[in-house]
Amino acid sequence: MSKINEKGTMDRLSENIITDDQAFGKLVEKYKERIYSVVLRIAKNNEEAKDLAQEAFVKAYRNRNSFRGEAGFYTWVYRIAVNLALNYINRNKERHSESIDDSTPIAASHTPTDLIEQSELGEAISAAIDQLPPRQRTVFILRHYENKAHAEIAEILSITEGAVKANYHQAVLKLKTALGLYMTEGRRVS
Amino acid sequence: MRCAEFRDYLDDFCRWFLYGDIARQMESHVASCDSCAEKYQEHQELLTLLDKEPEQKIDPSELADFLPGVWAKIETRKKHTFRIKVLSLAPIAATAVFLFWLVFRPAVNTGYVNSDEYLYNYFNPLIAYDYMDTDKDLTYSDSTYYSLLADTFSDEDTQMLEILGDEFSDNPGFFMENSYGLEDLSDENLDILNNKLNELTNTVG
Repeated sequence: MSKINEKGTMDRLSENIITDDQAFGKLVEKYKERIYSVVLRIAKNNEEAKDLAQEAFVKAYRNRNSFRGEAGFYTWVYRIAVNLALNYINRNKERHSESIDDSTPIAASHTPTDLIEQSELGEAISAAIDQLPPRQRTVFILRHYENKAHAEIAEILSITEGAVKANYHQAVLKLKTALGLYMTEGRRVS
Repeated sequence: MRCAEFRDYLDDFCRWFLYGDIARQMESHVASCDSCAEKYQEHQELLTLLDKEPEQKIDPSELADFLPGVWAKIETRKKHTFRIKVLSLAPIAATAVFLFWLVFRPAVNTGYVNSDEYLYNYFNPLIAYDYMDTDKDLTYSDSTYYSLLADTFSDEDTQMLEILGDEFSDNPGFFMENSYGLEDLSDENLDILNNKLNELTNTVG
């Protein structure tokens, strides 16, 4: 099926979700992986991410009468999912016992060699992002991994574009601090 | 281009989101401003480092039961919502039942007949009439009986209303004008009436 036809089919399915459960099911199958992926990035827990992603579709189903197809089904569910994930990490931020002070560089307690031994760059980056406050983390993930524009992020999170920029800027500063030694080391190595 | 503007667009610039004039202005600024060039270098380094992060892999088998899970949650939620609705309606239903009972409760339990003595005296003449076993001659005047009947049963007892309704449907005015006698009641209805009166009198007696 060509992309145009596929899009057309999806649009028709989106229009039918109010009355047709089968159409809704098809859309869930179509988008579940993308929705799960962004939620997993934010929530960092497979089981919780799956639960939250399912919850996003459930919410969409229960509010399908208010769906007008203006934003598209995917955008609609995506927005619900991101906000559910943000609420989840907000609720669980106290559990991050390893949370650090804003000014404390993560790498300060781990030498680059340690990080490599622990399991590489991926974990170091993941840990650094994990240390960000919930909103900064969500904004950063949407910007960096999901390639969203500031305006889109503002719409998804229902905040101003200025707030998005400020959160992103803070996140970048913290990541630079957290990964500073790694960056220097990387530069030296390369 | 000013430095503030450059820094505003820096992230977009590093991610190759910019094109045309604005991209050229950024390139020109970074070439001419050491401070911004340093910021650019630093930001570029961070993004390069982040790009080295392994991609997030999702095992499709993890999501094999995703849709059934969604339907299960929807079903659970429907039941839950139904329960909540029922529970939220319970106080309203209870109030409605209470009000219904208050309005339609049996005569013997109403405030109207709360005085047992009053009720007993009220029906006594009718019972006395039944015991006379005559050819329905009345010891007491018709008007007394019918006034009592009208006052009592029109509000309190459906069965009595049916009896009276049957008997006086042709001309209800007769009833109030005291021109209609108890002797015009059928034997069957007279029995029902007397049984009912006995029952009521015994209840309060």
